[in-house]
Amino acid sequence: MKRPARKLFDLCASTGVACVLFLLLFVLTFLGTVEQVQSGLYDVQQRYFHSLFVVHWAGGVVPLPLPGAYLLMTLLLVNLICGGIVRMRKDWARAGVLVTHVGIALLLVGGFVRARSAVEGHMTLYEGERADEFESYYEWEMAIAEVKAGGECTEYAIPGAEFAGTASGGSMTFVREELPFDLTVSGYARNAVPRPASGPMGGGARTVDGFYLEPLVAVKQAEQNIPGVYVTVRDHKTGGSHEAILWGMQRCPAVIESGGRRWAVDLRKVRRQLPFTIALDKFTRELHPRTSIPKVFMSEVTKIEDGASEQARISMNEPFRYRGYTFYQASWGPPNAQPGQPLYSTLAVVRNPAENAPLYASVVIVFGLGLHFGVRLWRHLRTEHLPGRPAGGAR
Amino acid sequence: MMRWNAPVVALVAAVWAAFAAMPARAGAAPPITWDEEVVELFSTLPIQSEGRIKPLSTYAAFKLLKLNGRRTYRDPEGWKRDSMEWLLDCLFFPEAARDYPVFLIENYDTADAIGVARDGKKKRDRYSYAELLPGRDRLLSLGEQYSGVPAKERTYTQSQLVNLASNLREFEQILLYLDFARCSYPVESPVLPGPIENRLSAVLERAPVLRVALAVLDHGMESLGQLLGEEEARRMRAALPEGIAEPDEATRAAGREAIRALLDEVDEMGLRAAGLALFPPSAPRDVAAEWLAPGDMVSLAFFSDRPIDGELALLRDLEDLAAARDDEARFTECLRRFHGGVAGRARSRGEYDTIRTEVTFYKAKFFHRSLVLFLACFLFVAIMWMRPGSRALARLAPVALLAPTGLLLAGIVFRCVIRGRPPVTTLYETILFATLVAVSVSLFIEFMNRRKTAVSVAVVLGVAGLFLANKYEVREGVDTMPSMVAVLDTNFWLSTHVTTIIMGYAAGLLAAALGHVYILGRAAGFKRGDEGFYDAVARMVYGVTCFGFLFATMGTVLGGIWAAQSWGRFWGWDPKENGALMIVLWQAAVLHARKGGYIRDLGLGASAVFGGMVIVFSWWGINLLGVGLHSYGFTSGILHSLLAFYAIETVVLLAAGAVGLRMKRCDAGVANSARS
Amino acid sequence: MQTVKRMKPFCHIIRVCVPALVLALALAGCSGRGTVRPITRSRSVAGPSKPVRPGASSAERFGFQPAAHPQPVRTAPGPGAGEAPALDAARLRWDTPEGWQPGPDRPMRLVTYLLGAEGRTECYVSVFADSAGGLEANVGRWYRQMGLEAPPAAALAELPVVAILGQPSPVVYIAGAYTDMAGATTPGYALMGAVCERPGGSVFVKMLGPEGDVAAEREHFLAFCASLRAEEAP
Repeated sequence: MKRPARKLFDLCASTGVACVLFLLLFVLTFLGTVEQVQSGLYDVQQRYFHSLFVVHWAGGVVPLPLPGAYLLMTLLLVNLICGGIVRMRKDWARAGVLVTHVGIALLLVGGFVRARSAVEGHMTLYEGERADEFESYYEWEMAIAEVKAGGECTEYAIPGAEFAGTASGGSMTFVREELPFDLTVSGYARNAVPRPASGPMGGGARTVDGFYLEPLVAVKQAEQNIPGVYVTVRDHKTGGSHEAILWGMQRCPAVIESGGRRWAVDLRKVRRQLPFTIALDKFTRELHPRTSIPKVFMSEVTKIEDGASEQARISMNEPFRYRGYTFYQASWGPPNAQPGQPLYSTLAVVRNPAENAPLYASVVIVFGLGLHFGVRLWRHLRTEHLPGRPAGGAR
Repeated sequence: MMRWNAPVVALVAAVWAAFAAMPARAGAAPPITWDEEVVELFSTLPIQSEGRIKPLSTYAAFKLLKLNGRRTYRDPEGWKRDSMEWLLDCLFFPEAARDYPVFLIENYDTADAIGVARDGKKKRDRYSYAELLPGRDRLLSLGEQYSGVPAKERTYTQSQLVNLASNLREFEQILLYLDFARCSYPVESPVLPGPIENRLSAVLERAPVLRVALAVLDHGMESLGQLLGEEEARRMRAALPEGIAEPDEATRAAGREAIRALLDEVDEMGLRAAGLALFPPSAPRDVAAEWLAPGDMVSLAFFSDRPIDGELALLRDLEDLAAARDDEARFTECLRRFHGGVAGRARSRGEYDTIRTEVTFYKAKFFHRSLVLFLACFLFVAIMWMRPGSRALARLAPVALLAPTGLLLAGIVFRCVIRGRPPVTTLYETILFATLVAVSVSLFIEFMNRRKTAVSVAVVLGVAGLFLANKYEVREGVDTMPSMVAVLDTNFWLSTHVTTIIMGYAAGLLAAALGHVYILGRAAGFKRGDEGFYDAVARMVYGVTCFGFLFATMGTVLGGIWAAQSWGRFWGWDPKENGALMIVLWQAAVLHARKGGYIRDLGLGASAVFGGMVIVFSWWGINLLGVGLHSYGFTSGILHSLLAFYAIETVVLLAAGAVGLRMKRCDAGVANSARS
Repeated sequence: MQTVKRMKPFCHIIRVCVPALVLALALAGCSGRGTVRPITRSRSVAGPSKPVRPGASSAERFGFQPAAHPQPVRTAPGPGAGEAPALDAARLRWDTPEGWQPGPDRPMRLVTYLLGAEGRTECYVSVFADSAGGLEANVGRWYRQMGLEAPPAAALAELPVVAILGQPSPVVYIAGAYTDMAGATTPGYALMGAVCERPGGSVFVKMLGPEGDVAAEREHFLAFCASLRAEEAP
């Protein structure tokens, strides 16, 4: 009974497996890089690197199944822990390598934590505006909130990923105890535009209230895709149903009435709450003189929490950190603003529990590599200069 | 030993011939001569261009390089001009400079497209401004049209036309620059609020009065009080000419006509003199960062309330200078004054500190001289291999190599001092720095093991690197010390991430070069039977790969931390990041494979060669993909060189395969004979 | 011995990949999705995120009719971009609607199409590195070209929109008498135009021709606008 376990461990710890994994990851990285010319960064990230498996179409025709980076890195981590840390002989000659391996393991673990639990988005503010939530770049959600005359209410959200599968047909029904209806979602399109059914291209498509949803080819800049979806709302009490098209750029939500209450259903980019408020006081941009080369972008912001406020400056390479959130200078506008015209600044917002893992890991890695090659070099020099030894030296 | 002699002798002869051809052919003297002091003063004159203050000589050098494809102007009659003198000819003797053939056109199609006569021209030849003039309008409209075509989709002739059109416009900005000081302004009219001296600076000084006079002519004298306030109006009234106070319609019309004629002329001259921002503002740097060209002064004088008296004083000096072009003594005297005024103000604004250093840097021609010395060392090393018995030569070779390496280092240090930046901030500087690192590491190895291999590789890499750097500079034709975009404006990350990653590149390429020695040596049967030699080379490859792996890994991780700092993510699978990762992964695979015994010396050599291909992909190839965040140095037109490189390296890898098969067969043969 | 060692990596591939593949397939099989799901996310908010208009028709919601509460137009910026990327006309791509014929190149225009029964209707795209005067000035100019008074600025906010380059871009349809640059006036013309203002530049799509043609090509025009996209910048 002991042998198979031992064998499995040997396999996990093998140097050969490490080589194969490195090479596979190498090939995957290369293909994923070249593929970006065709598919855009976000899609490639999702398909090649944040995945377990990927099918690469070599030359656009030959399918080439490959393990995704997520799977490869998991295996690499296992291999690293088994072979590079647990089984490694613990002596001075290998101390550096051991430390390096620990650093790389830390880096990979940090990567996994980030992939699982980091959130990111952006916050776009004109000078003088403030916000306590931020918007995702890519993720969409369906939000259902009751329309009341003033006062707070509960908003229910269905992540876009949960109904994205209906793009290829079928439907999904979503229920919640507090809601007097259920929603059936179908015909999701990642990039779409609603068109009047009276138009020349309206034949055959499912039409709701004189409109149908025309799927468009997804664009490479994934954040520019505007999704659309059909929803059918079935009232639990009356059994009656109501259909609507939801579109990412609709001006106002679809409204559902049930039992004298109203709900607004919207399709929008995911919004996330901040536990504090950020106000943009001033945005500065500077160009190098007599050129259009940007020199400085800077947002002066005030963080407000429980009535206490604190000022901060955010510029390229100098983010602002607070309570696990980090704010980066990402973009600005409007373009070609006249002097004196108010500007808006876009701050990227990231919350990553493993934010500092790469930093610690890199310190460990650099220390480990330095130690290892230092020891090697020292030994090498000593053997090289020992009198009477042949210069060829033993490996 | 005999078989080494013939090629070496041929080589020596070829290099000697190349050097002999370098000095100028003795020929006619140039029509215009510039005094040494004049050239020196102009060289150290500061100018604001491409976002920074630089010496006029640097400006001139890159302008000529861009137009002409080389740094000196060679006249068909045989005389030569350096770029600074060429710029002076263009500025002060435009009637001569317009006939200098400086516009490099690469093919007949380009010339034909704009309908320029090309009798007696070669396919790739240089044309003068005067020769291009008949096709000017057509060229500009074609240039406009094709600049709308994506750079990747342009035909060769189309991109030539786009470049030529922009070169022509830039040349006109220089050629017509001093027209404002040569032309005559219509200032004689009695209805003008005169007297005004016949020069631009004088007209601009009177701009407030001219503005008021125009208002009065249009709206009557009463408007003056509302416009300026009583006090100022009274003062102005005194400055206005007699006729304007109670004018009859005819006088008013004549006055309007006179002022308009003057303003038209000023406007036209302002447009021509918009190119060279030679005038530091009198306001301090944090208030007014932009230097002015005369054209800017025209706009400021007529459309703003910003006082420009200080700038006008300098403009007056430049006018005097332009007027004195035929009187050598007076010219020098005016130049001293103008230079003193501009440099003095630049100094008070804290913008003159590095000007002289930069002039010295370019004068010293560090990289050019280093290349020449590397070539000399190449000869030296060739001779060293011819005489394998000579210990002295072998001892001397690495010492000799210290000279070009030192020059290279000095040049890089100079650049750092001038820019106040770490050594690597642009693609051009990556070549210089990588060369320095590769050569230094080889020298270090040579001093350690004295096997003559590392020093030979060092020479080849030094020549190749500096040759490439020069090629790159010529092909880009723009200042290699550009302003930094906001995200790169951080010395900390530039000095850590960029420097380490380039050291990684350099080491990887050095390993690849040593890999070539191993493979090609085996393939050619060089030192057959001397296993010690191949052992040593293999150990060098291994050591350098380790060194490269250390720095590539450090650089990549540091890059991730920088990205986390400025973009909010450690890793984003951006092409340039992926390129660095590929290097790290490949080297990790190689080092682990060697440790696991899956590859041996030959495999290591071949892996290093392939590693070199990966590095070149990451360094240059990625930029050709045209996607991603790191496209700071976009390189066009290097595709063919890259493809050639990959073709050659593929052949080397095939050779490695062949060597591997042969060695296996030999091993089998040895085993068989041992058995029998 | 040598061959055995050489074979080793290959064996490892098989040994590692096959079980991993089986495992992954098994996982994929297990996570078969049900068609009914509970809504799990909820949070407390002050109200719906967009202004709610009970009784709004789809046409109003999608911007095909003036809405009472126009949304402020604001850019959706891409992540990681250091600065607003300049709009590079050379990188714009689009799908050509059926029946549109490429027309001759013209200065200031990215592309020109000829369409309609007699090919008298023109549709073209112009791209500017700046706002080119902005929405109000350009729409005003179009109205005047069609012999009409420019609409008040407030009315602009109510224009229907189409998504161009991810940007809600107002669309106008103006029927009237067209006066060309030479001063000749043709009655019975219509102009349909879309204005996309974004960081780093602006895009104008304009269709002009006999009213019948323009009305008939309306849907093609909107599809054409929506198909405009930018290749990734280098």
